[in-house]
Amino acid sequence: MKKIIHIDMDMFYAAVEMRDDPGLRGKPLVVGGKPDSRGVVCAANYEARKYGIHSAMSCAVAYRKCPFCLFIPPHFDKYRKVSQEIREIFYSFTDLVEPLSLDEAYLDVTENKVGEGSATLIARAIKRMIYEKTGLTASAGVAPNKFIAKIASDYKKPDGLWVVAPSQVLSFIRGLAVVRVPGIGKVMNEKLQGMGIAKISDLSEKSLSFLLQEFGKTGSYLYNIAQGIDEREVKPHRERQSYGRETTFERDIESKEEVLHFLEKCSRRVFQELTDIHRQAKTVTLKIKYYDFQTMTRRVTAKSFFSSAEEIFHHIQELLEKTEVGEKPIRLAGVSLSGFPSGKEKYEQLEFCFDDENFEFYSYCKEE
Amino acid sequence: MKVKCNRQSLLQALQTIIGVVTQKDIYPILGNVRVSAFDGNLLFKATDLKISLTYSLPVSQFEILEEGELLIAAQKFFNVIKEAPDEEVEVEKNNYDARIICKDGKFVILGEEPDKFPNVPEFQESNFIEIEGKDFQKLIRKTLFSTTTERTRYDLDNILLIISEDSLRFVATDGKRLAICDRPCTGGEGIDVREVTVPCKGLQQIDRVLSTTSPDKVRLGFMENQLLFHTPEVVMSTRLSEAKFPPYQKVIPQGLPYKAFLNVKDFTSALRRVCWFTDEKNKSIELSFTPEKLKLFAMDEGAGEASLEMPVVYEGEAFDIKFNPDFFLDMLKIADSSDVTILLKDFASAALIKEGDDFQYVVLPIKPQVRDH
Repeated sequence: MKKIIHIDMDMFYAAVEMRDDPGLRGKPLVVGGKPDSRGVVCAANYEARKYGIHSAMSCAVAYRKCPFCLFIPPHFDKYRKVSQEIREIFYSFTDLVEPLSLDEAYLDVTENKVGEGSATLIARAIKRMIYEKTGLTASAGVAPNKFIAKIASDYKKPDGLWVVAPSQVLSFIRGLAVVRVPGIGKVMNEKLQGMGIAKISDLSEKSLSFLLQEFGKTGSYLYNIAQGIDEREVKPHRERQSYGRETTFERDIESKEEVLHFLEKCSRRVFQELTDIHRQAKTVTLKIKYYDFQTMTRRVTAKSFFSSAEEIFHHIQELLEKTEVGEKPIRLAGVSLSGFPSGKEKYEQLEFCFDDENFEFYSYCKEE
Repeated sequence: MKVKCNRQSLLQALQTIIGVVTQKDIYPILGNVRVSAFDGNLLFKATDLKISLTYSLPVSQFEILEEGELLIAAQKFFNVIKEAPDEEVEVEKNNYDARIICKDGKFVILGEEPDKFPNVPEFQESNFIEIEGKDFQKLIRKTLFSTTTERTRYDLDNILLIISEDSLRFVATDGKRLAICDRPCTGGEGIDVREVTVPCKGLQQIDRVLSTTSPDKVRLGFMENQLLFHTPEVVMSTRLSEAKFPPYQKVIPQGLPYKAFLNVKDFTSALRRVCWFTDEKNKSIELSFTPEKLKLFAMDEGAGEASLEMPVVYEGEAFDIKFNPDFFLDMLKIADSSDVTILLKDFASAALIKEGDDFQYVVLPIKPQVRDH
């Protein structure tokens, strides 16, 4: 039986902001766009959540729900730095760390660097170390697999620790709504609800053949989940599929020049992000959302890896010609990079990395 | 207009100029050559709007019977002159058309009004750099091969020219290797610009001029966004690129601890023999350095493998490194010396090759397979 810990920072972005500016504490706070803008909520503190504000909600809606809420812009550099500090703590216990985002990770501590047999003690130590190092609280879930661990970390938020022993798994999940299962989204949830499957206990009554018939491959995953079984490994090499940046504008933009200016900044930003972690990409995607919410993407894959932000922007300019930007107003634009070297590639000619501002010589970098 | 020319000299002029003439028919007028016979000069002008060339035929090679100007299809003119059996040919203007008279026949090429042709920049005699023709050709040849026309490397289809008081440096890279060549020149102090980026195409054209005319000295000048190139026969201008050249200095590795001395002929021969056993798409050979021997190894799955040993003077620890063999062959092909020095560090770092005092070449290796740990 495995010992998995899921660590989830409590209202991470908002918590970092409140830590750095005590004046923000105790007041409803949103990190994200401006209140009168069409940006979205990146994070909300618990005071704001009381008003029904949650992340991914549009700021305008959040503002309507709580007009005296404080809105502050995100400071990703700061969050990334804190996130790095937290990961370092994880790595002092195990290398089997699978970060899901800046503020969330799975750890497999079945075998660990400190020779501690109790995952509960490790989780407690991690929580304490995070607090000592960053002044922030985290919630932890300890369980025999990823699925249960994730649900457990949410069980006693904030600053919680919940342990689900192997013998408690089935009783722990019985009453959960199926929508809590990772991988079950809106569409599948509706389908399940339509079948009268609301809770995991309902799901567990269905046969494997029924689920396979209804949901294809996902059926066997659902079947296992309902039995408390989740065999997904903690993947330390979890690689992001793309690096991107997109923004919903304050107002619809009609001027092509303005869009280009924004996209140039975007190109620099994503290229910087990529080089910061010593990765290379050869596909660039342009995303445009028109005023009428019609979204389109255009992409191009280069023969070799991008070596400068200018190169990326050059492609973006060409891709932009294939859109109706300049004719139709747009509300969102973004740039993302993908097409990374797969670790399995046998042949990989190294390339100079001609970064614009911080030039650095890209040499052999171990996959992190 | 009526002129009598030595056919061989005329052919050389047209051969030089034809590279600039555009074959595409976006601007049909650019498919023409403008021939002017005034004041004892016989000039041939062509332009593609980016590169312009004026060739002036040596005075001893022609005779102006009647002054005037012509604008005719360059390719046709070239073909006629190339195949003509005569030692001398006569070119005569009839209305706008050209009549070429050989001893066994007559050709008429329809022409256009000469003034329709765009202006071609003249060389400014004020400030210029002077450099030996063979040195300038060396600068081009030793760097041009490292550029790339690959669209992704849009800014690397250029060569960086760095001008100092008494020397000229050319730098080229395709993102995987970098070539730097230096040659002495004079007059650098009078030039305002220190760095310019020149499109490869312009330099290829200059190389062509240098090959056909072998001038002792060439002059370079800079005017607005143009590089001007001047030899006794030719004035050429090429538009400078607006692309920013990457900061190349920092990719030149410093303090590489290991050193190998290789004989150019032996190394070339070994590389070529091993090269037959590389996968055409993913060319890769492994070099194993040991104090006395260099071992070359290549394998093409499904075709076979090759390993060769050659003597080497090597100062350093034994290690293996993989390269694209073409990167070496391209450079060895144009080596002037009998030996090159390779400076190395480890299997994942750039190698620096030096030939004489004036050529440096940085090559990045192929990343070794990721090993499970």
